[in-house]
Amino acid sequence: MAMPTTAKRRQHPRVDPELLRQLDQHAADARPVEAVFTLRGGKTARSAKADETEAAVRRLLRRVEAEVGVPPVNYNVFRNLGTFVVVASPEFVRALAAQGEIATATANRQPQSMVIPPRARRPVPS
Amino acid sequence: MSAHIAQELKARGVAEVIVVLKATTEPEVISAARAARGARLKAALAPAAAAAKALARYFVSSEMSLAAAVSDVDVPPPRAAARRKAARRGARRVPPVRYFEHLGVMLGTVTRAGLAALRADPRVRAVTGTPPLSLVRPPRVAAARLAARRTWGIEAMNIPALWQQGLTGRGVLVGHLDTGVDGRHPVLRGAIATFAEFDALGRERRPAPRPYDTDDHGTHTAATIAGRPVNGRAVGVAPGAHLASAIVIEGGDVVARVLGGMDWAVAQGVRILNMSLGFRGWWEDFRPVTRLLRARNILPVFAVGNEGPGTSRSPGNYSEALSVGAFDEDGAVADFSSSQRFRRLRDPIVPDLVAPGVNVISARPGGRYLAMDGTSMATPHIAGLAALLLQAKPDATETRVERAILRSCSRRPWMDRARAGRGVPDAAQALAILVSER
Repeated sequence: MAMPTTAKRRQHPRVDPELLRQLDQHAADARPVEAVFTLRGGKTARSAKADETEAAVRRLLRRVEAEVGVPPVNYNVFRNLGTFVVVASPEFVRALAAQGEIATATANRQPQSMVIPPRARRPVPS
Repeated sequence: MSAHIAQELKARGVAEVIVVLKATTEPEVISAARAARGARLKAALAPAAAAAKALARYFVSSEMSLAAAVSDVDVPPPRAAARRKAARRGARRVPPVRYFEHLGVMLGTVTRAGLAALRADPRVRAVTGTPPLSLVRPPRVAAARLAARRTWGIEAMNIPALWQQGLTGRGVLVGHLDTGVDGRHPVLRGAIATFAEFDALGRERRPAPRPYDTDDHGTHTAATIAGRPVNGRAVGVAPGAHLASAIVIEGGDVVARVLGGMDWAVAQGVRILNMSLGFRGWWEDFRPVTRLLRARNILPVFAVGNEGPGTSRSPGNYSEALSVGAFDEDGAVADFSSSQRFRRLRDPIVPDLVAPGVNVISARPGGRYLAMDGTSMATPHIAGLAALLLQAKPDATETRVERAILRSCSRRPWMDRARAGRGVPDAAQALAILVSER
């Protein structure tokens, strides 16, 4: 039997394995975790105005706060990019990652560097 | 399956793996290794060597693997040095899998089927992904001189043809996210329109510091984009362009710092974003943001990486990025320049093109000069070219500018597409294509 075409599949966010590792590591002592979240995309989200992005993130954080009972320690919204970073308890971060608006969740502190080291360098007499 | 292997298989259809053989973990081998007796160890490792030989069939050597990429040279290059280089590459026939006999470990590229077969084989102890470690090479120091009126890279891309038409990038703001920039360097005086620094949560530090560099990488790349001529000598491709420059990769393992810089650059109204940085391997997380840059009419010009064939870095390996590899003064793709094929319909090969990235002379903090090698040095050449084109056609979209640059490219006869993408851009042709397009 064919699957009904109108059925909407719940899209799960893509969670960075490094973030999962940090959440597990910090779970025991409830130390805050730093995580970067991307709001779910689509053309409308991409063209969303900076103020709308900020308002959407605030609503989202309030909802999660009501759910887990504690606010985030800190956060910062990248208004022009549809992304934000949160410092919060592992419980808060897990609850936030489970929200429908979230597309990706990534550890802010990564074990590898983004620096591309030059392969050679030589001083040049001016 | 490790997350890294799963990501590689999903993105490229193949993954690089490390295979540990069971024979190497036998008690006899372990005691031989501890005693460090060469002949005894070799004898003890003989069964592992036989197993490695038998298991080699599960690995693939394709254009996606390192082996093919380094030996895939069709036409001998005309210059003697380049010809010798190609001959060396051809002679170095790399097998599809490397076997490290003293470790009893195999390293190679597998498909999903190959991975399953390895996992099911009783001779295999473990299959793991390859960790994305960065190797910091020691600096090579040699005498060099800024003698020419222009750097070889400026000549190689035919940039002076645009300067002769009065194009200098004036009126174009280029985003430059790096280690910072020495704003007092004579080459960069007047080039920095705005400067910022970001903390670990991507918040702009207030008050904004005067432009400074935490290293020398940022000053070098900035001057290649928009360095002003000094004493009749030029290192900058777009000497009239201005930079919105920010420190984002000092202590570069913090994602939000880079995002903070990108967000800020968008707010400054940049038309081009130069990022000579990236995470090794495929890393999905900057992709929505890179798409967003496109939606904001900003051309993302990103370095592909310095880890050689069969490798790349994110975000430089996204189809949404204009990814840049490096070539040298002989017109050969630099050995270190990353290149990789992805399993996707659009833009499967990175880099998209190559630019001058070996022996690139540019500014060094403290009013000095420095020659550096790397795709980080190639990338700002393309950002500078884009600035020149945007001065000529300010209403052109980022897609049109990119298309003009890519259509102007040509590969030297000895350049392979898998390594060089579309090849080297020609500034005059890019301009002609851009202005003729409706």
